[in-house]
Amino acid sequence: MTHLLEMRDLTLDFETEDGVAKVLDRVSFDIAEGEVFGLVGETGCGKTVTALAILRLLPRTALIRGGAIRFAGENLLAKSDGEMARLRGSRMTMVFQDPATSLNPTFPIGDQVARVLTVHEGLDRDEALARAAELFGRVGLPDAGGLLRRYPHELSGGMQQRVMIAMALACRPKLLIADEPTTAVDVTLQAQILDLLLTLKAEFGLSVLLITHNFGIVAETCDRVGVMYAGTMAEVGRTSDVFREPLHPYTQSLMRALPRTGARGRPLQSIPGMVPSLLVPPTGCRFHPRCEFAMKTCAARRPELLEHRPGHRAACLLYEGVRE
Amino acid sequence: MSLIRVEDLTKVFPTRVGLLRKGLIRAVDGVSLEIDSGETFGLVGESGSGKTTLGRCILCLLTPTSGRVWFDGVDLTGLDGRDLRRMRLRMQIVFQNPLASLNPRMNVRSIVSEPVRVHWGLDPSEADRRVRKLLGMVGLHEEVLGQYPHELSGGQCQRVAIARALAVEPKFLVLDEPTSSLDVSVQAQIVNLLKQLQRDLGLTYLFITHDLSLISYLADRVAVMYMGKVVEIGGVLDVLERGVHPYTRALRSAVPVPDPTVGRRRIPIRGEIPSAMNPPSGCRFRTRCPWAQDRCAAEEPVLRGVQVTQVACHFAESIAEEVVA
Repeated sequence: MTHLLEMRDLTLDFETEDGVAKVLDRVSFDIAEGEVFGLVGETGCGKTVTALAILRLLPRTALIRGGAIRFAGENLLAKSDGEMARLRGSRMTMVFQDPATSLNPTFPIGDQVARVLTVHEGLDRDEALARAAELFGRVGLPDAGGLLRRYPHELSGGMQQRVMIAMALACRPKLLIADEPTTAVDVTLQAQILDLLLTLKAEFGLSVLLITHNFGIVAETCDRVGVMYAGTMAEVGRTSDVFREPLHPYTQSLMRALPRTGARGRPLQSIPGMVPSLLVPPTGCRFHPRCEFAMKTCAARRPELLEHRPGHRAACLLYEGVRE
Repeated sequence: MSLIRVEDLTKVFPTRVGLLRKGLIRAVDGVSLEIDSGETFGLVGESGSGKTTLGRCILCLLTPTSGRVWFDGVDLTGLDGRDLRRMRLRMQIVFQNPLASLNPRMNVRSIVSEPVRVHWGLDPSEADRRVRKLLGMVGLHEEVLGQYPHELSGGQCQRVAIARALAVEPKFLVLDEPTSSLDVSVQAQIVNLLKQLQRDLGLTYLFITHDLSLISYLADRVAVMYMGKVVEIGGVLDVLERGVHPYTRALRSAVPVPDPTVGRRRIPIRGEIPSAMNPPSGCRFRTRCPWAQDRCAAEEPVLRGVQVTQVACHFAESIAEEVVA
């Protein structure tokens, strides 16, 4: 299997008024060609920062301390700003959580999609608008021709998100990063948009990095998944493996915290304590203060993300043969 | 014994589109339901279905346009300001966004003690004792007493909001998406807390949410709303697992199941919710319903018993048969 994207030990800090926040600590994962890779975790675990690092859209306060990001074999961290600008929007694109704030309210949506094509592919305006109309059809927007002249506020949330997807696919990218693309919409619409993403993935031969906090979405759409906790990658594996046999205690706890019919009458498992401050993250394994299996070593030694089952990695000393 | 009885409740909001066009939105339209003492009654539906408006009408935070709400045998819609305020002591609300529902200029002590100072007239030392007791009930340390909402996490803020709601010893709580802005591990803490408080204090809950997994875990009965109408109502597992209304079924099938071995059997529904300004004639769901026929446009279905739930659909029986076959 060839990897379209490889992230190796990405480590980065944010400079804040209160000090240096250790936002990502040696995050590694791969995305294969044509694969949907899910990145899950709770608020503030570093999912979005990871995505922004790939696109090199990090704020100025972010400092990359180490690691590498390779896209189609090329090191993205070594590219100039101009080279990145040419990649973004054409070979790798992003769909954000809230389409209403991602679209420019002052331009018709047809022009916004067409602009991607005039900039990246040098089409003239009429050609670009014709392609935009065609794209609108592909993403299931009705009456594609008349819709081009509409403004974002005239569209429903679901239609806006479809416009964002059309824009993201305009130049036939290799990698689509979707950051909580359905968090702002209702479930029936969410189902439509996820189905659309899967259809388009197959049609366009895309790889997708899907960021979500919803384990249901991961189970239904992702081939493989990475679980993040407090800036670290706790576990990576095939979705079926991670759900059947979660290795990391954090993943195990999260799964048991999900409310479901079968758990009626019993309390849900909650994880004691709170997510740590990244200004002073716990030593060793960042999860150890909240972990029910924590050993003394866990506070001292940082676990490596190692393969403990075929294709299934976890960063936990329990699997490194450490016993106390 | 029902604690709350809602009868044919309607709430109409006037609205303005552009400069001159005016319209009316029937946010809640002819809803009747009863909530039993000590139960958790779930209200589910998508944005704009009227669930929050219904919750607020039940508390008379919004005045219903027509219809009646009885609380423990008292008709709230007939009460004037003073009597209504007295009734309010027995019913409280917890909102979705805890940070926005707590006054940023007040510390936890003032936020939680305000209800008992105002309603019970407690002096500062009595109020302080009450606040400490409430914080213990919701699992907060006393160190938070002097802290302000922005210094607390989302879960802690929600605990403060719950403590404030419980301050005057209400019997009935409206919980309007109380965990929607929280992560799953924190949601689990708050849900466990709410269940425990319900047992300890004999509370009755109206739990409003769009999260079907959550409601299937914690509710006893549930009503599914679509465009201001209750389309199906009954025992929570009866509705969510065996319900026959096409919207209930579509909603249920749209919820992603956190289990990759479960195959997807989606019942696709077309398009999006129509404009609330001109809802479809007859059955409001007909424009998106795979079973819709001419009768659905002409005649509005009313709730009636079909199998184990109450359903508002002309073709509930044939759908139920088709599903079994």
